[in-house]
Amino acid sequence: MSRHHPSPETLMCYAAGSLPEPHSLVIATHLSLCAACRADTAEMDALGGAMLEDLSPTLMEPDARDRLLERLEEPEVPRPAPPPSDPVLPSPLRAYVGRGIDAIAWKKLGRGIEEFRLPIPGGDTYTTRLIRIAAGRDVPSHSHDGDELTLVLAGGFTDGDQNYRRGDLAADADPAVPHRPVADADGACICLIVTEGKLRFSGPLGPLLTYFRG
Amino acid sequence: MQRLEPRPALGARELDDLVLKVGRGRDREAFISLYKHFAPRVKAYLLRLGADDTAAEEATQETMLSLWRRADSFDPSQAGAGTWVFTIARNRRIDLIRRERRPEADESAAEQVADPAEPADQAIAAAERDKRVRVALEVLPREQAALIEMAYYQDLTQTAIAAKTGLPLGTVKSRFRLAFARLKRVLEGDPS
Ligand SMILES: [Zn+2]
Repeated sequence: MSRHHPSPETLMCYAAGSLPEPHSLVIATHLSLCAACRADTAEMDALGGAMLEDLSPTLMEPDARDRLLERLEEPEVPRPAPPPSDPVLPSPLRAYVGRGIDAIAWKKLGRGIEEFRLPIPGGDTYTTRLIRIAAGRDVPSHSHDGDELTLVLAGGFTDGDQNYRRGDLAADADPAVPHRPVADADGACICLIVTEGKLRFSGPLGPLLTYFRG
Repeated sequence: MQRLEPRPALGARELDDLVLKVGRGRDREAFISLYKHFAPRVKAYLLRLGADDTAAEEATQETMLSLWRRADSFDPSQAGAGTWVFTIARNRRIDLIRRERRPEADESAAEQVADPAEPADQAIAAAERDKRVRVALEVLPREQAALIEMAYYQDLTQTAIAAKTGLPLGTVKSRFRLAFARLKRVLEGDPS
């Protein structure tokens, strides 16, 4: 069984806190499904702890400690309750989607492909979406200006000689090389995808082109 | 930047015990000891990441307040106090300074897509792991340590590190991988 995990450098940037929010969401969702990567991330957190310990301490304002001691019994703003569990959306992702998988208003893109854009800050740099591809259908051959991270949530797809199933993360080795993912035949394939930059379609374009260019 | 007088630093065990005292008994004396140890380090961390003095001071206070409030969830078998405080400071910085959210893994999720046997076999106690991580940091070759510092202290992703250093992205990636492989070897008990 093939398993596809985030690269060590991506996990390390997640632990360091330097990943942009959309990428952090992809990694947190993978980690919710993968104990092996959670163990690696715990080691990278420990690296951060060791580095913190090594820093030369800097003076706080003279009255800072007393001011904080006065605040210790302040009532705390209640934290939002964790979202209900969902068979497809792990908890961190469910919180961003804001509804269960069955309540998503999918937008049809044609060719058996639907999408739902996540309300997540990414500015013009990143687009974060759920994509649902009907069983056996393909996404037209395309390349990217920047990196694309794809995490499988349901079903699976095959891209070149690699097969990806729930929890697997696909990151293109070379974003400039066109690829054409094909959904597995056993059911709709649902993925969380973060795209950096614009998509470039290399084949016959269809209505997708104008939409993705958005 | 002002420096504190050198003061004997608290050991990892002592720090763990202090957090446990705060968690179990809301012990203010223990909290003050933790504040003396961690607040100046957390502030230094935030300043290193480019926060101005006011923002660093504010986020440090919020980090220490979170420590007080969440101490009952501290579990020294999962991570030592220093690592735990690092994760709080990192998350508060993302909230308060970068103004983004930090999605966290659902650790309780029972579903596992990868073979769970492997990490369980390799699991070592948190205290031992923290100790070995320090060793690993000391033996890392300079160019690998520099990249890790850029990720942890400059808020740079691998792509941004490549742009900043002028190194090809592939070189940045491979240095990260080498650094992580080294870390793994040391964690598995091979310090060479
Ligand atoms: Zn994994």
